[in-house]
Amino acid sequence: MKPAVRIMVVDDEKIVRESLSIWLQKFGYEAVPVEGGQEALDLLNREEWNILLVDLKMPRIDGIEVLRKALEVKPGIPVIIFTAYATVETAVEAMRVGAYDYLIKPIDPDMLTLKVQKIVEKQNLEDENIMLREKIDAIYQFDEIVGNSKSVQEVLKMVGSVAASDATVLITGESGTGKELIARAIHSNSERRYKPFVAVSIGALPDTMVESELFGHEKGSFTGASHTHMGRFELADGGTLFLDEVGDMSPKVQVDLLRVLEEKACYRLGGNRKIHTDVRVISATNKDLKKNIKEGTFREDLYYRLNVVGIHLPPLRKRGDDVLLLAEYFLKKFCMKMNRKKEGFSPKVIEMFSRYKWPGNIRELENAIERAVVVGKGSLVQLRDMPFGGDQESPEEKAAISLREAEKKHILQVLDKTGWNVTRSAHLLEIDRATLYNKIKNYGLSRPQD
Amino acid sequence: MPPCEPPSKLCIVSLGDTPDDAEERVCSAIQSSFELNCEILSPEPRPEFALDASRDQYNSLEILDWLESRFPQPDQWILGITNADLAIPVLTFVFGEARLGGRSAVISAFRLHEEFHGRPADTMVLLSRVEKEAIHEVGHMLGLTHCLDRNCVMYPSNSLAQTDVKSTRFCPGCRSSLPPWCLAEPTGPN
Repeated sequence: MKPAVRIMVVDDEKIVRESLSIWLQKFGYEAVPVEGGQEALDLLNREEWNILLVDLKMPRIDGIEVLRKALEVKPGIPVIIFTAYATVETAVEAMRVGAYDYLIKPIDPDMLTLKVQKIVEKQNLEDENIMLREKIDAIYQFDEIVGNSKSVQEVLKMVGSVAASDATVLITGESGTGKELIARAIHSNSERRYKPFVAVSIGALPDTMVESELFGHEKGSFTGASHTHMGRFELADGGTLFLDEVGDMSPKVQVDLLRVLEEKACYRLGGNRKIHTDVRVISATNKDLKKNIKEGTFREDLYYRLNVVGIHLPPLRKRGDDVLLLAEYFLKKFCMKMNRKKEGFSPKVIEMFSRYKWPGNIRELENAIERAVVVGKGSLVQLRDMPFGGDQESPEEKAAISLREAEKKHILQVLDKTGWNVTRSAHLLEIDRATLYNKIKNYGLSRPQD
Repeated sequence: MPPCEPPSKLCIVSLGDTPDDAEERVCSAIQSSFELNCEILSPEPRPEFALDASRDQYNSLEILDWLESRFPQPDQWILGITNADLAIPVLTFVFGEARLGGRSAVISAFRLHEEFHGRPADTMVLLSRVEKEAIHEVGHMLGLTHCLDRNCVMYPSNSLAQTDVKSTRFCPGCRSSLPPWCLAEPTGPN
């Protein structure tokens, strides 16, 4: 149960302090009448109070002095001064010293109710805010990053040390290795954690939209720009901007991004106003950017801007026993989510975990376990519950002659089946849209003309 | 804190002039809301002893003290009704006053009259307001504090609009906080 709001009513006139306390008690507040300024300050030193209502004219220590000393002891405590002898000078003095308000006796009960309620609501919101922040802190530790392997422990160590700085971070690793999770962990453990974390997958956006998405646009700046749109840099102000698939940026966007990183400001498309942004950039790619630099498709100066600190995420196949740890983590997560009971994995499944190469990495494992929880019967996950069924030979091994060809064929089949709906196809293929766009581009796939 | 023991009765007493039928309506409203025996006592004079001549208002806390000494039986509760304008020294006015968890309360019809606000008299509206204020103050005697539910009779009234918007009923939260012995099945209009 929440403790009662404590209000001190300080007045040298007994009838005033007592009647006001009684009146406030009917609101459920713990209102305490206090005879004079010194008593009030003693009580303030000893106990916790939410609000002070203090009469201006009192012998020995007057209301202004109580206010001044109260704010020294408890900075920010709301003090309402009331008086029957109001003058402009005393009102100005009270507000200058830091009174929350200055009221003239007799006080309109509705006005006093509103003032007190407003303070209480604000204090409740502040308490709630502190509580939520503590919750967020508790949630966003590294709990979601599961793994005991040396490589993952090194990554976690790096996340911990890089979080404290504002340096740009480039996270590299194959698709599905958890790059965004690492970016979120860095953000959540940084000073920026209460500000936005904005993620944008550049690979999922057509070239024509990247600039507008990143920097925003003004109304009428191009056909269809019916209203002003804030860019991701603006939205992330004060926080972290996560740029995924940076290896897919066009040369024009690379130049613009470099300028923004250098100037810490951007212009909306069609706009003349310089918009200053305080953003920490974390980027990610599954491409070999050094190779791209050699090939001339990625700017070297941008690479060094983005890669002040580099973090490489190992593929799942190189994480040894982490596969089982992760599988158990996902099993628990999905069982809880779907209200199912599974005790673990059959020995055959455990054996398969280490043998299978997991080309889709953690995302593939997560999807496989989700499927197993949905379709599986019995207390243990069996091989038949896994996406590759009872087939102990992994799909990769089966199609070893030309995996690339098999993948291309399969993607094309799925795209045809969904009428080239990329979102649905990505869902069926259990990969994200950005990856599917990349694969369409890499395999040179195109929609058949009717 | 709700009182432990139920009173033998709740006495209603007019203090000077009051709106016509006010005592009867209050008695009936209280008996509809609570399992309390109500009795209307002989009228008492207007409480001049509590008059603050500088404000032409009557100190409500002094009236409570007087009611408790005038009717000292500890098992009897007392609710005064008056047309005098009530206030406590620090506030411009109060519609009513009660001892929280105590045995005395007083309500004023002075500011509940439509005429006070420059509108034509309306007896039905006036009596409905008097009923709400009476049930509200008895709620305080039973230990209830103010409620945030605008429809609940324990919603604080610092203006007529607030009195008019609330009902004569308790919200479920306030109802559950009442001592079980005083609960009556709610009847009558809101």
